[in-house]
Amino acid sequence: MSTKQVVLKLGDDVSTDVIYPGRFMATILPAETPQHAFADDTDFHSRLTGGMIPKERAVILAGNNFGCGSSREQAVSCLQGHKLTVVAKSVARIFLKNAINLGLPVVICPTIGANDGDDLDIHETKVVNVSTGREYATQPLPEAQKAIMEAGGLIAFTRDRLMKGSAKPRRSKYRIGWLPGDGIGTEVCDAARRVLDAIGFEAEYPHGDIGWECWRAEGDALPERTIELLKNVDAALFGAITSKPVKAAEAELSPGLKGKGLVYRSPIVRMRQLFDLYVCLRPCKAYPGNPGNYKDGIDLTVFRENTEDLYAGVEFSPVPDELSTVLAKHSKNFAPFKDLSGDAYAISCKINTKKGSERIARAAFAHARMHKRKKVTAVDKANVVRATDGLFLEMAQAVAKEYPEIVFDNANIDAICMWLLKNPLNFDVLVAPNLYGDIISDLCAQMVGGLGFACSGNIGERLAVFEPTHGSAPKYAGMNKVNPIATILAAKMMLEWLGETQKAADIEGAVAKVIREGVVRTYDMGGAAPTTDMAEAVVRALAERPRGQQPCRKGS
Amino acid sequence: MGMTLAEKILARASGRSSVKPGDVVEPQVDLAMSHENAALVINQFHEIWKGTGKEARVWDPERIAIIFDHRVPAESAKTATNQKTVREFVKAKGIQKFHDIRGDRGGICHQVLAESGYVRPGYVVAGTDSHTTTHGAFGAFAWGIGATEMASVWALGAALAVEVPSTIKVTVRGSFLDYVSPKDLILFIIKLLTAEGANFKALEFHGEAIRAMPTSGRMVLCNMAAEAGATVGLVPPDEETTAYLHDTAKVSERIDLLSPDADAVYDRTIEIDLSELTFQVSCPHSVDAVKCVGDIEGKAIHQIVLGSCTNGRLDDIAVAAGILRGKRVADGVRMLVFPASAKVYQEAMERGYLGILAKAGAVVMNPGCGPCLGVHQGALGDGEVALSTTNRNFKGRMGNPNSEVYLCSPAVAAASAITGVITMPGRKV
Repeated sequence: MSTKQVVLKLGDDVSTDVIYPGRFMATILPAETPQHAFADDTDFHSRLTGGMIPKERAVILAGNNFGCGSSREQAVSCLQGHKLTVVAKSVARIFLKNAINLGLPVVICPTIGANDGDDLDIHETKVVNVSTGREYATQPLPEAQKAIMEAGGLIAFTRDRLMKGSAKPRRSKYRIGWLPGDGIGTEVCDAARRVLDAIGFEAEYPHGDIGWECWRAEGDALPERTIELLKNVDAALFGAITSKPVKAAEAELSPGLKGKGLVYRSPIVRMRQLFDLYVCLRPCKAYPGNPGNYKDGIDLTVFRENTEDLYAGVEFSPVPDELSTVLAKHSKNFAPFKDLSGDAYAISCKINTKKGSERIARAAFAHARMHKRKKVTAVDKANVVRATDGLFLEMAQAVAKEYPEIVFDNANIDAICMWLLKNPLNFDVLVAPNLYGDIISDLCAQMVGGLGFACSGNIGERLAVFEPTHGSAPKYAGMNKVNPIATILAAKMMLEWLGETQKAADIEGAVAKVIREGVVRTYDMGGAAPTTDMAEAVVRALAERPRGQQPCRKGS
Repeated sequence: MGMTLAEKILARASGRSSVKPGDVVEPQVDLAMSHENAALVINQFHEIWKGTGKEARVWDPERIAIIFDHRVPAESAKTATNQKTVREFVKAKGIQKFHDIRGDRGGICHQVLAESGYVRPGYVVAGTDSHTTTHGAFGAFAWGIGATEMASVWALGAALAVEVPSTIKVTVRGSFLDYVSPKDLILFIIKLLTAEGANFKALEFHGEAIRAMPTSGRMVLCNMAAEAGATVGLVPPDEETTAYLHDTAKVSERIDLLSPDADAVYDRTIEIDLSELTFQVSCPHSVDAVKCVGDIEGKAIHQIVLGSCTNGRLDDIAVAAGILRGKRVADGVRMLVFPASAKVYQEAMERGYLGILAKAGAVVMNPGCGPCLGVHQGALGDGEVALSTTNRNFKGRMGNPNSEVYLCSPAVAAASAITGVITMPGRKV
């Protein structure tokens, strides 16, 4: 509730031409439009621009159809600049929508009776004219419009949509690439599917072949048809695959494919490259009651750069003479190696780009802002690996300046391994180049229960592939034994990315409940429950959830 | 339960089997149109992307149209700079449906969209202009939105939180009397509904008179549906729509038509018989202050404006030229003619209409919005009166709060130009 004063009383059908005359339409920026508000009403205009109205307390009282006419948004921003509130009997559609989108307070009060100078108490459901003592009911806005206002306007609301990844709007039915892969991949994916169905997530799940069996039968662990399928889905859930060293891989090829020079390539690495899935997102949260928790309260999110660094695949073994000559010429530090024969050493290139470093840093900060996280820590070894890690740190520092409300620091990869174990609660969001990110994500995962809980998202601009980080565990395949929670949480991440945040929150709440109760535990948690029982326990917890339940989050 | 045309289009675009009034949907947008205010859209678009960590990307450059019309050629350095910003953006994003200030393909956005065949039946068309309703003439759900909402559409490809409007059905029977036109009809409808009567609602036009009406006339009705507050005005598309798109807009693809369900539910129904409809004039300062010309005949005027997205098409200019042929614009009256597009201009020139008008004393200006919104070209002096074929007469609309604007059809405008007072067409003068 707030008390405001009527500073201008208007009649019906006040048009946008009166509020913001057309001759000022070339002035567009919200900071500049207020100077032209009600420009043709010379008396009110001079009171307004002369600072003669009560700041933040002033109300424009209008009759019916306020703001009719043009779609010009300046008619809203010019009033907003003077911190005015509009109380009207009714408002024209476009003006009202613009007001909601920009955040100008507009109260629709169909029977309002008041005069110039009256004080009004504006409540959620009524307006009280303090000067006359009479009350008037307000007309509520539709819920969907309230959601835009609560987000702080349409810019923030749309940005939120974009950050949830779905440049596509929410759909009534999604298309999810279903890539269970090898070994236990099928079992954990089935468990996640059971949960997705139970939450009422409407989707079709076209199956994509991927993994060791594809390699053996076709000589390609990621067949072309699966790549085509991924071009036409909203997101994908990936189970697990088996991979073996080059020679073993060649040996297991079907007889007709042997000796054709086929080389095994990791399908997940290829997906990252083909679809530019540059973010590897790994949330690591210690759900209360998990016997594998290293410490209660751990809630870390790792952003690992996924496409470059030492994993770029630019490697030499043996090292060609040409290369050693060039290196010797350009770096005096190469002197100890320059006379070695090519097969006496090997070189893997660490390649980090400005673009790659900047975009992963941005992703980390944007995530931190959206989820109200407090701190981002960059992980590097810039004091020694000066060129590449120096560049990475420099880009992270530059991006940090755009997020003044978020604390930024950096740590060496070796030191942070120690600190994470010593004081894991001191950390929040971590961002790192590929290799360091790989290392700390496994470290963090083990602090919150290990492989059975570690989920990840490989996220690009157009596609995201979610997976449990564990492997195919051939020795447990078909035994209905392993913990499906990592895959269920991967499905939860996928829903978040698609913008289905309520469903995602509900799944997380159900998983947290099952862990907290500790009745159903798989072998890794010290229990004996099969995979399917764990899935059913989560489904039961979902059925019992209070509607609209939101799990606790850091910062909220 | 059956659906109205608006409901059908929104259901399809939102991936639903059905919608009803009051539902809130997120329709995918088939065409997103802006004019000079694209400069503000661009500003808001960059605001959205700022801090997302992503490159600012339009969802589909093929589905964005930008046409300069409100202030062409630029009246100020500020406008010229805004236009320059837009040109740079258009180039950077690869937007092809861009119509710069040109004598071969420029013009008013709504006319350019229509004659370029950018709009098809069943489309969802969002425009940062309140008269985007014009495209309902093709059976499209076409509505006006603000610049920030457009920035959101550019980013997402969908409009967020769109409320499904209920629909008012307007059935029009009979045929027009001589010189009476769709403009008189829509002014009459606005008088019946009032300026707020269709706020948050759709108008759907039916009846033999609508079926017999060319696309240009249907565009007049849908264009001014906005003046009754309507979210959209819609005409169920038919063979006339197909013929226009194939013959005038030179579209080669097949045109799929759609119509409302026979059991659609309407908010209310209005029936009008054209045999009783005479010339209408909308009086200052509200579009719904509509009177019969007979009740206001003799009112002295200083400026006649023929043009705009409402009445600047070839048939409008033809009617005016027919009336003014061999006649003279009265002394003390300025008549300004603004063809709605470069194409209209060229064709009016080839057919000799522009010559007739110029010989009568009219000033033929370049295609564009002209003085309609009071930015440049043809401002009014204190106490002056304009009679205009445009769509708005709000206080200060033509750039001067101490002037008056009356709205009328091209025929009334031309007849009044000769006498210098509001005059009924067809009278011997």
